[in-house]
Amino acid sequence: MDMLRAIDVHFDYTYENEAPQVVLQGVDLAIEKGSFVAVLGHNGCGKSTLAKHFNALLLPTGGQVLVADMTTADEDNTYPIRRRVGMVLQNPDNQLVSTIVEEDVAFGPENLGLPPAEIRARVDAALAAVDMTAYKDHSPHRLSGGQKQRIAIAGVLAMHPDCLLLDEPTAMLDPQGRREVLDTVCRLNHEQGMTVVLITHYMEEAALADRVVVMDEGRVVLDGTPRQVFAQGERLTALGLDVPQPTALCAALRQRGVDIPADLLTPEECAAAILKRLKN
Amino acid sequence: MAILTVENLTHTYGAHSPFEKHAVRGVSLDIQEGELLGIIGHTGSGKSTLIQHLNGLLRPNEGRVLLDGIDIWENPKKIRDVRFRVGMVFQYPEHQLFEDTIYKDIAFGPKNMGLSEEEIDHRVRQAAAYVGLPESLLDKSPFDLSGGEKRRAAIAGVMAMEPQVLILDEPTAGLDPQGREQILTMIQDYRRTRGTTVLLVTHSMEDVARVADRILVMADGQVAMLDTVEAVFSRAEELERIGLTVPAVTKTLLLLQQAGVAVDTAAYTVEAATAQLISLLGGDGV
Amino acid sequence: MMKDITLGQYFPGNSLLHRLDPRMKLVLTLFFIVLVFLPRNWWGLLTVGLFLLLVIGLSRLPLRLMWRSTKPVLFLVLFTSILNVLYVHEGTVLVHWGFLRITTGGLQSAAFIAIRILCLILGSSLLTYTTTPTALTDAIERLLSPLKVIKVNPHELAMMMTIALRFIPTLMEETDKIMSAQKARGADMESGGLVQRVKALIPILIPLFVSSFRRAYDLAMAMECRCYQGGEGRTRMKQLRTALRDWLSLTVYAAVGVGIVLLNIYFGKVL
Repeated sequence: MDMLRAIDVHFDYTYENEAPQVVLQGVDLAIEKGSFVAVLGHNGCGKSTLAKHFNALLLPTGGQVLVADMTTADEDNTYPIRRRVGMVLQNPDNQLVSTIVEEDVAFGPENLGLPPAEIRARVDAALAAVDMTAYKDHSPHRLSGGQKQRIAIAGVLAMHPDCLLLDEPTAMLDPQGRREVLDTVCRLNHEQGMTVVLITHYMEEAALADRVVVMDEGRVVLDGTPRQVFAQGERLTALGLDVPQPTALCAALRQRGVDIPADLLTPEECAAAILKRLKN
Repeated sequence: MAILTVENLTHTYGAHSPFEKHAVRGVSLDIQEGELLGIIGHTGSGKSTLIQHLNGLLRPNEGRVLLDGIDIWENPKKIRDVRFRVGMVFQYPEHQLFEDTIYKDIAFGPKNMGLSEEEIDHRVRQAAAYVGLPESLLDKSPFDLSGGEKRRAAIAGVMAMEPQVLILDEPTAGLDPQGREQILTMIQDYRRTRGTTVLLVTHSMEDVARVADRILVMADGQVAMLDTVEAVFSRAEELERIGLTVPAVTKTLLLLQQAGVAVDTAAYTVEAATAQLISLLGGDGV
Repeated sequence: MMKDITLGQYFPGNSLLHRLDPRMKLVLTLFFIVLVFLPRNWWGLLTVGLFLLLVIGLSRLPLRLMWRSTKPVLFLVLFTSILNVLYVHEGTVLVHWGFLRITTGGLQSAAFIAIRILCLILGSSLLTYTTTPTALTDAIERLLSPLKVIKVNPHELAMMMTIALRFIPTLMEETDKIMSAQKARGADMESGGLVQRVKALIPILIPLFVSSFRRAYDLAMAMECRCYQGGEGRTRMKQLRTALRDWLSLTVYAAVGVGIVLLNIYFGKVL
């Protein structure tokens, strides 16, 4: 079943006295329930704008966006959609509302008007899911960036969404924080079957997904498994993106006539392939 | 010759309070004139505290910082002059833009130095050129620029002071690959043209590997390593022990070495690793 | 360092005071302020003082916290006491030296005032030490809910307070950072006349302003994503419920109040 669907989505806006800005020009994309999709693209390619469409924060100026078969165009669907698609933003400081961690996590379910006992149960479960139970009485501003992002994820989880939409959640974090957030996201996807859409600039993060979608100038230009996408090194460079270093190394070796697969992503895979070649 | 010398520097936050924290403990090091030194370490390793001592934003609790052999705190009233000579670009520097045009913002530093109008104008235009901002953008408001352009304008604001030492704290944070690439290239070009000593604080091993001459690894408020890039990356296992990752290329070589293949793990770029592996694997029809 | 400041002074604990309903605590604190101004003689004031000591004991807070909250007002205490010594001329004259006249009445009234101010400060700091800012905001929201009738929205008020509490430390840190960044470009904030100093603030205030707007925009979006639609139809995880201990506390406070009034009548007005 498709969790999210964009059908020929166009989006443009016009400021007074200025030429219209075209951001999305015909995005067709279907994201299956339970999948882990990474979205790549340089700044201004439209990926954040697309993400906001999946949360009914923006409405398409052309085409249609469906979330669990509900169209975002119908205003009655807005809150049901936002409950099902939880969004985590880039800046960990700007999305936490309360001065106490557990009360922040409770913010979403409180907005849904749930009974207090139910909220309590959801908050405890959400904090456990991101491994932050020990910090439930802390004040968010004393936490590290990675911890704040995990709290933001817990706040979304407490609404029992079907899908997590993360808009560059690791851009402002240090490597340790990035690891924490990614581990959490991967675990939610594997263990709870949570649909994950991860927008990122880091190729190593995209390599963790089941599927990589590359956007450019408001369109989807590449779509496939990480191996399929990263094997197209030159295309990616032309799109202003990187290739994971091991993949680049394999590409360089292939270019010099070494018979080695083009679709290796991690140092482990790369080293194993080289060892195999050496033994032959 | 050492342009900056740090002698036995210790800095404690909240001394004599329950929150007392030694951010930097007994750090001594020399920074050579004209070098590009990469500084790496975890959040909380003391690297931010260390660099804020180099231009006198923080005053050491113990120890000294020497600029050209003279203690920067010899005359506390002259500390502003030290800040002009040791320029510092903070993280997300675009957040400090405040003038209504880019031109005026870049001119803020030189103006504080009390330079003449012509000199200021010359420096603003030159700095804009260093960071690759077209003249047409100089009269625009910072709000009209893209994220990457704003960042470059903010860096130009420090370059325009023509410091002897330029410190950049995570200049590529939050940018896309292309933006990162532009900033790194720009820093290299700037240094080549002016011969300025550059200190680059970053979380990215790939970035330091690409541009640095030497690497300073901070851990726990102390200097864990200070050596050439090759030498530091050849200690990959130690780096991993303090929770830092080596570039993926180095990691690949390290795995090969552990499997008994004779490779030099000091190679840290795709090019260098390829060159090494080609001779082993016999590509190019060898 | 600005980032070391803590907003609100909540000190975690599990004492009787910590467990009281914040609404009741707020009411009791107001009640206590009245108690402090009730006594007309030493017996009454002694009762207030002893009662306060009892409550401090029940709060199980470390005594250094009490010292921390009194320290900033010591000057005020000293100042008002001296004024009283100098200007209240009643009872026996102890010292008469030029225009200086110190009387027993003056000394008494100085001591009375000093004790009163100290009681006030300690009594109200007990509230902030044992109640989280969030609980306090909650209590205010609920205590003010009757105001809905006159179209004042206590939920919005409380939401604003919560967000302010949440973001003040963040903005403090940000101010610190911007200040360092501008200082690194030679901004001079320590010298010059008033006009120059105000001017020197511009490079700090503008970026701070811009960043607050950016944060507000992000926060509003995040709140929308989390289905925030105002106070309508919203429930709360933490219910405020008054327990027996709350009503007992109120009774004790009332009893102390009645006691002081009786002492006032029995011993009469001394001051």
